[in-house]
Amino acid sequence: MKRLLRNSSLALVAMLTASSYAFAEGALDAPMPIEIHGWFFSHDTIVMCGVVAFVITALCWLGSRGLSKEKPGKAQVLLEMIVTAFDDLVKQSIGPTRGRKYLPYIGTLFLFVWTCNMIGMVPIEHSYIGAEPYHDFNHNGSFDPGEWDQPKDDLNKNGMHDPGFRVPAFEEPTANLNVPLGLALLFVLFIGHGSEIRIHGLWGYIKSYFSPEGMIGICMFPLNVVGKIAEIVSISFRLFGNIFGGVVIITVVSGLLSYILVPIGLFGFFGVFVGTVQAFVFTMLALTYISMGAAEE
Amino acid sequence: MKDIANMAAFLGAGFAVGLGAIGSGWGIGNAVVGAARGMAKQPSRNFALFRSMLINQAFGSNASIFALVIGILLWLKGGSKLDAPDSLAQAAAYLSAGLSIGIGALGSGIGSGLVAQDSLEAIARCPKAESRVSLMMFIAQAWCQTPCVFAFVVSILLMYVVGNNFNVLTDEQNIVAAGRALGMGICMGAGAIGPAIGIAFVGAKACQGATNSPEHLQNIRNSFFVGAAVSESTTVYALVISLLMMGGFAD
Repeated sequence: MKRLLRNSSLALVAMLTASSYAFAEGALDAPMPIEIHGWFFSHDTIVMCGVVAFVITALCWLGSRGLSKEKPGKAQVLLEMIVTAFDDLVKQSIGPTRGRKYLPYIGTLFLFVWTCNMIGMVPIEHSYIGAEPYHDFNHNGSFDPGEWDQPKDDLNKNGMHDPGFRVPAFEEPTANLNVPLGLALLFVLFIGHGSEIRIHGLWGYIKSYFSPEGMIGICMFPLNVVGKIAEIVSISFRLFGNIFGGVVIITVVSGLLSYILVPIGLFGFFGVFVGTVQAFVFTMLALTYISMGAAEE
Repeated sequence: MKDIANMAAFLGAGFAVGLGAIGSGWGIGNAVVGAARGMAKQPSRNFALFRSMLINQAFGSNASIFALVIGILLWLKGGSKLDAPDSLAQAAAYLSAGLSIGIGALGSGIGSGLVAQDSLEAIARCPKAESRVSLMMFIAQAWCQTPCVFAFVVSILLMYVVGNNFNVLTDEQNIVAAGRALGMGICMGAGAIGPAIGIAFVGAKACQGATNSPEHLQNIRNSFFVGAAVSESTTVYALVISLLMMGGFAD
């Protein structure tokens, strides 16, 4: 038992040291952009979102095999707890019958954002798959610029050797503003406003912009429009600011400590605690904005 | 005037973290006040109150975390080599970025303390209502951080959009742009204090109402949403005016 504890604590220290290196090298660099018709996409963020989605899907698939009523396993109990908690939340804010329809969206949103916030603590540095071998004629272990002619697959057009497919370092996708903004647009604009149009009709939706009835409502129209935009801005920047703030603070403190000591307390606070609270807040606010239009009377 | 922008970045960092700590400190302390009162009233609910207090304190420190991030970014700017170190307008943008988040964090910190105190006392008074009150508390806490989030947005814009466009200005344009940048920061920062406290008042009283009269929960929630949205509108005005002032930098 003691040996196990010692080994696991050593492994933990090694992991945290490695992850502080990951933060130090890659966190504040601009990730390699992909250009499609003038739109720039961040390669790292897209790959990490895919990894998060794969992790959630795999864990849920593994946990939901061999379900039984009589003898529930550990994974089944855990998954049932999560589902029941969100079922209660959704029923409480939207309503007992209509709320069930929103359960998959809200539960997945929480799991996705929470896993995104946690994945920065996995200590994996970025690497390259399928890299073209260096033209290393004098065998000093590095590329020789003088003895190398322009390769045919210089996709970046920067005159440099193409490193192949970049597997990004494990960083929080939510520290890139585009991910919270995309989630906010999806949940507040598409699901929230969409279900309001579907339930109250287009005319009812337009009337909600003139919300206190009568003459005051006409004066309130610009305010209501700005308020709806402010919802999306505030929900997305809150998540982005907290997670990005954690990344910046951990990077700077690790730099001050010369990457020798690891700020474990900061990882605990900004990684685990703030990450969980902010994931829950994002979910709750999305649910609140949806329930403003879709709640049962 | 050499390196005035570097000087302003350091000054802004000081303002951001120094002013940003005031409200949060008050708010975090107030959460403990609420928890202590609640524990005295219901010693058996010790653990639930402690857990709730920690969550409230995380919200209370949220505003000062934003201020700390801007402070660190400004500190890095101040220590680095800038493109236009003697531009008055760039200096004003950095100073204003610090002022915006520093003043803007004040109200959110205080507001979070108000919500924390009332919700913790409410949980202690009626343990059965814990889930209802926690839900209301989460929404109120998140909502009273909104003005601070707007101030954070304006600070980021001041540092990275406004602060980068001053290489080609003449002296007259420089003075005007400096005033505009300072105006942006002060408008958003000062405009964030009052609404945050107002939203927090609404949320705190809604938490108490949810315990005292659970049969009117729907009514309380509706008036909480409407009241908080209306008191949020003033901070939205401040945001709109700041962004309009920023629009002048595009040309």
